[in-house]
Amino acid sequence: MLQESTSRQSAAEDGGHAQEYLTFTLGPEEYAIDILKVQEIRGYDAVTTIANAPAFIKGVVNLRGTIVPIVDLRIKFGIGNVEYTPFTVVIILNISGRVVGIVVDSVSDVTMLRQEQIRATPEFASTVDTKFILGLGALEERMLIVVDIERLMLSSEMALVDAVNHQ
Amino acid sequence: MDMTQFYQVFFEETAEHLSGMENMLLELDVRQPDAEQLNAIFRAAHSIKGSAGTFGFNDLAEVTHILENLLDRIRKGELNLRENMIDAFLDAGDILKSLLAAHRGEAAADPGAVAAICTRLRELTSDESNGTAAAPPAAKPVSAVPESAPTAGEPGFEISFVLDESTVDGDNAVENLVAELGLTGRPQIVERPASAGQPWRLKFASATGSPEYAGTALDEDTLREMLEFVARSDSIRISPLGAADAAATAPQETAYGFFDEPDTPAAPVEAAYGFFEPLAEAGAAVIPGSASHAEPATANDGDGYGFFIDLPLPVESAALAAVPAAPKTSAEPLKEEARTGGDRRAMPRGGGDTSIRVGVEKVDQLINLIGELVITQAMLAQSAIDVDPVAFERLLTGLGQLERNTRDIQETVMSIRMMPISVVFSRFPRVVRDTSQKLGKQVELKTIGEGTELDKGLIERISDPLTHLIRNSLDHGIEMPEQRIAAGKQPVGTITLKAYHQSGNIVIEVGDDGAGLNRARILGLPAADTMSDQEVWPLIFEAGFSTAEVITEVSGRGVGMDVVKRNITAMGGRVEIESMLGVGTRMTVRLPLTLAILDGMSVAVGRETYIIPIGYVIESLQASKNMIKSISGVERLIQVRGEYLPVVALYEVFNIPQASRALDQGIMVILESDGAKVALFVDALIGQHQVVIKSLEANYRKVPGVSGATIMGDGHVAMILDVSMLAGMAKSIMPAAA
Repeated sequence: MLQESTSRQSAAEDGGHAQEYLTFTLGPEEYAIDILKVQEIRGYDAVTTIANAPAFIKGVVNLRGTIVPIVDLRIKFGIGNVEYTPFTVVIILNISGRVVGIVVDSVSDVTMLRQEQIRATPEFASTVDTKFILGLGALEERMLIVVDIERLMLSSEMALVDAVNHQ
Repeated sequence: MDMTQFYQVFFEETAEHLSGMENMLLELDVRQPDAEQLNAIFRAAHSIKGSAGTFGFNDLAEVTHILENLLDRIRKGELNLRENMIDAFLDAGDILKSLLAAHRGEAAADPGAVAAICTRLRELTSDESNGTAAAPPAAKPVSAVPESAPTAGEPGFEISFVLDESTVDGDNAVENLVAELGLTGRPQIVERPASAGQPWRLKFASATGSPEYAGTALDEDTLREMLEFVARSDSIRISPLGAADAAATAPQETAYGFFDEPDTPAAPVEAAYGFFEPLAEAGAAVIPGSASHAEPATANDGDGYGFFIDLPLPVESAALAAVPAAPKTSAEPLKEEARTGGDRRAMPRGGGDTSIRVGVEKVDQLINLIGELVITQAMLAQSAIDVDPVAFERLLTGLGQLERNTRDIQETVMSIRMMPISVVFSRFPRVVRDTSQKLGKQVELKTIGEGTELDKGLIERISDPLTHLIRNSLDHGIEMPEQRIAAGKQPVGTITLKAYHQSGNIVIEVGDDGAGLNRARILGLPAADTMSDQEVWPLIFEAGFSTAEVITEVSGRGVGMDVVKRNITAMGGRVEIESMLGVGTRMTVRLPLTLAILDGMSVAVGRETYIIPIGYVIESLQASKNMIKSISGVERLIQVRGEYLPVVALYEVFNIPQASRALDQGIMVILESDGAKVALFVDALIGQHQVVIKSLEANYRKVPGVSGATIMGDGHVAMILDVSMLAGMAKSIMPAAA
């Protein structure tokens, strides 16, 4: 707690090079996304399935009158136990006006990362294309995978947007 | 400053002005134009010019400027209004619309057409030969009539004032003022100021003194009001003309005093103009003391006249005596007008308008939130069923109140999106006018129920189908005048547009008293057959159908009515036809009140619920084994009353697990779309609801076979089926063998 506040302070001192990230876990891995893209966090509700959608698109839910598609990142990334309990968490993202929910194992905290704390990603093969990974955040022993969530969600492989809307 | 943010407001306002102008032009009686209407048209043009100039749309400003000049001359009576001017105005309106569209980034305007209309308007403006007979003497600036300069001894005023700094183009403003005063007496400019800030001096002989300006006696207060438009109010000095002489003309003063009642708004400007207009129409200059002019006016009101007769007549001549009476009687009906006219001027423009412009998305957001509130309320009500009504009496009362309030809020919010259908209807007088001229027919358009409200989204989409129905009535319904006379009808045909609400729907009827539909011609066969009228009429909605003998510019190519039907079905509505040969035809369009709400049938497949728009559903039935026919080992047809219908199994199309597979176990919903019937196989019917349509594409993408989604009473999302796409799938999807 104390450490966090000092890191906040130092971030403020070196002129806003730091950004706040929401961190969440998928299995043993920790991911971080830009907090400004997060609209809210809620529990997992029963979804209405969408015909002929890929497996990781669970369906749509009613979020205060808006129809919001739900993506299970655990299925998409192929990690973690895919089960839905009362503790399953959905992060509702607002990405250039589109509202999308992502299912994760758990939400950890909000962390401040300075630019120099984010290391470049080495090239490697994974289920997630490395072009969606902005870098690897080093926070003491923890390694945070910083994801360009906007680019990922709007990409054609997420199948969330019509191909014509996005090239 | 960045002006672009105001462009949208400008576009909207200008479009409103243009359509308002068009309506007024169509209503205008060419032989006897109403002065108030002319003024309103002029004001519309003036506003467009003003704001177009402000925003730098010079092409718009230029056309409106020429238009305004012509209108101004007509308004002042310098030119006679003619039919070809109305045509030119309407065309100019169209050009302005196209220019506006060009600025909005839509289709570019044709510069040739713009230049042409400018030339045409200029020609009309400079057409002096037409103007001479019409110019009423009253409208001439009086400074040009020196022989009638006011002299001391007449009732009247000496006026001096200093122009207000905010008055633009002061000289002109004073000229206009003088011209206005000229309607009620004889003004004269005594002294022009050498520089701004110096006083103007005018002399003004009031009307009562001379019969030629009968009736519009101006009192000091009214005069002051008029002056305050241009002058600084503290600088206005008004004193009676030659006060010493007043005593000598005592009898006249009595009459004058009577007219000078302070509460009589001596009809200025418009009203007074209106009064003089018929005189000008008579084609003669107003002759002083002419009884022939005064009498028609007095005859209108015997009482008033009689009342005046009893007064000790100040002047010998009976003809002159009639004159003071004339103004009183004819001024009476104008009083109201004058008062409203005055109010309007006293109020800043737009001040009386209590509406605000709000983005549609804000309203939609509000509607969404209210929808959520309704669901929450329903949920609360559901959970309150089990509680003990005695122990929780107050809670239950509160919930009851919440339910009522929620419903009220929902209704109110929905009504924000509602607009009167007159927005659509108002364009049809023009359509009828143009089309009937082209066809050489005489047609009158009657509209009923213009106040009927419907959703803004529907308003935008209903306009094209309705235009088509009206053109169809004009072309095929209404006969040529000679045919109508031969059939014993009035030569002028009537098209009736009627809108009203009926059980949650809006009904729009397009009726004509024309020839009616001809069975024989529709069927192309002798009329002896077994089809009922109700079966024959819908054939006109089939693609490629036409009974027109000749293809005209208006219609006859057989495209159109099918599009009408398709558009209306897409809006969740339907069209019905009633017709009688020789009597007429009536097309009835029924639409849901809003695009956002749909009448749907909910069906279950596996664990999912789907909504089918009810307009497509013909019937639903449970198929028995012997109705199911297979082709090449695959069960894909059912026989319903002699027809073989392809089966579309929803579980197959949507890959739904845990759905019943045997075709004789579930329910067949027979759907009709674009003239083709299919049987949709589902597990069970659930019920019929009105559902609120939500976009799936806002946050997701288009899903084949799904047109949208909705939120059910329990808060769950249900998909709305895209019936025409599903029907098309019957042709392409290969069902697996059961």
